Amino acid sequence: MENISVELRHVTKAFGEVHAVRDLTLQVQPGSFLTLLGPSGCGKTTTLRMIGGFERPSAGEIFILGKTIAYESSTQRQTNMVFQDYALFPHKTVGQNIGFGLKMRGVKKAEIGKRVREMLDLINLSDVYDRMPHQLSGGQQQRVALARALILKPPVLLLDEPLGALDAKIRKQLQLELKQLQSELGITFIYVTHDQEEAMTMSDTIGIMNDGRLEQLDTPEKIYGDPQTLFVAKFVGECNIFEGRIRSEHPDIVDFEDNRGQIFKLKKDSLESAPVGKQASLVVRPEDIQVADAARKCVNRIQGRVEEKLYSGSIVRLVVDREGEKIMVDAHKGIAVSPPELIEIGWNPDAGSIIL
Amino acid sequence: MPDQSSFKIEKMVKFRNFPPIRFFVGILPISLWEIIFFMLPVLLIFIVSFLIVKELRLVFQWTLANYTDIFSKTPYWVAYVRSFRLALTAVVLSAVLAYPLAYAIAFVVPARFRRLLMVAMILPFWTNYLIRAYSWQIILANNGLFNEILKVLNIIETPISILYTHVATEVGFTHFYMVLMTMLLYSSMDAINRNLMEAARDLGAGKLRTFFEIIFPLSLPGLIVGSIFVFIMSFGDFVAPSILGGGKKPVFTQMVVDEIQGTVNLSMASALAVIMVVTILIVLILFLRRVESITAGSSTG
Amino acid sequence: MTILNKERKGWGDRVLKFYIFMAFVFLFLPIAIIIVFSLNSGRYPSFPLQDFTVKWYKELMLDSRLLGSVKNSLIVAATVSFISTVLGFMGAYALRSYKLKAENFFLGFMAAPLTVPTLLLGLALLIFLNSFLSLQNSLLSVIISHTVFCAPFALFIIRARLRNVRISMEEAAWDLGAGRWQTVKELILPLCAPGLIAAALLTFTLSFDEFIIAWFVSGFQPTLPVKIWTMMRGGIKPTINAIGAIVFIFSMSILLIGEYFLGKKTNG
Repeated sequence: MENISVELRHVTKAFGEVHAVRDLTLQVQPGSFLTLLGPSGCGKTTTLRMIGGFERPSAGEIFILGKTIAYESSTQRQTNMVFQDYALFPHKTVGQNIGFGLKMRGVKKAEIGKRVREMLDLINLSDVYDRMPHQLSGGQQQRVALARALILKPPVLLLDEPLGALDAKIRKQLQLELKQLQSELGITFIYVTHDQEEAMTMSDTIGIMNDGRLEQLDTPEKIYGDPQTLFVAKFVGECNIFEGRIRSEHPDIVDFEDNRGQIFKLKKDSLESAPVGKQASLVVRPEDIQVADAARKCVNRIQGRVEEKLYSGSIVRLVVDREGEKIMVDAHKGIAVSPPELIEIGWNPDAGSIIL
Repeated sequence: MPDQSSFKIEKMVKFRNFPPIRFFVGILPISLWEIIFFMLPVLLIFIVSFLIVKELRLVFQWTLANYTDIFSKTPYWVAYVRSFRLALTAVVLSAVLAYPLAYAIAFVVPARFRRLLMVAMILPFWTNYLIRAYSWQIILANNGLFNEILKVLNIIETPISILYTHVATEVGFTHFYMVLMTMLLYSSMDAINRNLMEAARDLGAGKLRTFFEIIFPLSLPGLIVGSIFVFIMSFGDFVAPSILGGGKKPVFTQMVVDEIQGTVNLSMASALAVIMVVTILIVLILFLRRVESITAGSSTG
Repeated sequence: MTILNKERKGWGDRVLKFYIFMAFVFLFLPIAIIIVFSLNSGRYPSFPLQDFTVKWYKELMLDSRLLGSVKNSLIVAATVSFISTVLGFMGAYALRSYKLKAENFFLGFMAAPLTVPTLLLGLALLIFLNSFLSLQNSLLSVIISHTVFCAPFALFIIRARLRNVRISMEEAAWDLGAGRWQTVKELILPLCAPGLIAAALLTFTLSFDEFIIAWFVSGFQPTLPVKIWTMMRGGIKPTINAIGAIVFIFSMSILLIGEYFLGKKTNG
């Protein structure tokens, strides 16, 4: 148990008739960066608030460093939280805000002052000690909120959409800083966001939540490359989904037959078992699909008519119509196709993944 | 996803629905104060109204005498009807005077002066009610400011007596209650979306149409709530009727005070008070229903 | 808007503006009269005015019984204001910390003492305190009685103020290790101080000005309004004008201070 930082066992939270979190079980390794990702109302914030002690679970247990704490109040917990609206105390200076936790623990004034200044140096805000929170920019307020939580050296830091209120540029910068800070300090971060890009860039592990349930808990690569549920596939990045069934199984390869009777081959490695005949979905990411000449060398090929060509930076998004079925393809911007050309697209067995 | 309904809601939920102890620590003192010193005494009035008084002391002997007295003796009835009429008049007067004032402040005065005017309006009321009434005594007396001005303007030769009639009472009522009414009307008028009025204009509605189609219906809740307040407050007021109206034609509150301070018949006073409470409750219930039906959007007739 | 404004600039607007002016004359007339006659040397408040004088004010200062009633009023108002603010704060904070299902019912219960005519409240408390608890009529009775309507008043003001303090701030304090009481001391009290001050000042003036209840239950310790009442019964006295002017200025300054704190917003 000692090498697990935070553990939730069958945690459920109900508000009256509404279930915010259903039977959630997960483990977080010490020093890792876990992101709970999902649409609003999926239960991610409630989960975080239960870990932080702001909500009591309706059922289940929560362990921090191997100790059960589900019904302990937030005051007694070893976790600290960075709030979405920062929740800085408006009547206290930045220094008093950051030193608040130490003051509550009865640390001597001189010591508090010293450690607050260290903290301010750490977050590159050395000269705001005596300012009031409202005199700071959004990004600065965010850092102060972070410093206020980190000064207590919690083994686990909870972050509730801490960058949600900031504009895109500062967001990007703070994402990097946060990630750096986390690996420097070796603190476990549990981070809640609805922004999949943010989750992808920062996390060691991502937990995708939907309707109170944990859909998948995995590394960002696995979440993206090998989604376990349709929800995960659709929520993280964009994808083409082919409905069909598993036709036959070979040592390495599975044959998938879509509803139009076309057979696609794909690698078996992501599937534990491939029950032949079972209904399934094949997920292929737009950027994994090849076009024109490159497509001819692919194992799985489809004919279609280019319907739209949308430019976005270094790539073009092609919408290919396959007799009513729209398939999205990302190609290099130099590609020489244009609507309404008839083209061939394709991908190799290692690209797609099957969801049962 | 298949439903994995393996989770169970345990007794924790029930526990959470029970308020924490600190909630009671906070809520109990004020609640107890109001229960002991408000609810109990008011209930007590009700009980005492069925008791009799002997030699200035309450005696625990049940009787309906107080009520039969009130219902059989004309002075009580006359005073009751007088109070009722005065209160209704106060409602009408303050509504009529306040409506154009609220309208003017909400729609004619530039936005930056509106709040200033609303604050300035209540300033005169931060002196004692008795002293305000005293000032009206000075103004309305036979040789007071009002009569002097009329004389100077050659409108009258001999002063008209206003003081110590219920005309003076109404002046005292209206002075305060028109401000109350204005504040309520103003807040419901100020809440009217000004784009709505512009839209009405665009659609070709004239000034009057706009007023009757939009402003008046939307200000109606404020008008009704204001009327309830004015009615209750003027019906229960003792100061203006006694200082300005004099004692010749007593109103209901004066009868109550007579029983308390004069004859010290507390059970009779209580019976009169119960009748007041019942009157107020009936007015409240009747009118609040009306407010509800209006705010619910289904204004009936 | 511009079209609307142009159309409105007719005679109707002028009539309405004149009406505002007349209404304000009507509203300010009594207080103006009081102040004018408090400085007029004539014994009777009639026109034309006589010489300017401050002798009525001087006379007030020599009236020991009047000063005694002022002292009584100050004691009552200060005590009522203190108790009401404390009770109101406790209630308002409790309501915030737990979402009561019957909250509207409770608020209605709290609003009741504010809507009942003071005459009824006075009679009820007179019977209850005097005949029932056998409490001699005194300042204590006035304090108890005034708190009945001042405490809910304070509760409503403080509740409105507490709503501006975000829950997340309180949670942040707990999260950083502050206990319940420390959170109140470090966070809640400083942040709702304007509301507390406003409640204290407003309940002070409410109690200071209240007449009927005090008249019924004050016994031989009259408060200022009760004293004014007896003075008025005794006929017209110019000193009453002077008291009126002083009370007006006193209440106004208290109220302006209250308004200032009530209007003050939390930063951030």
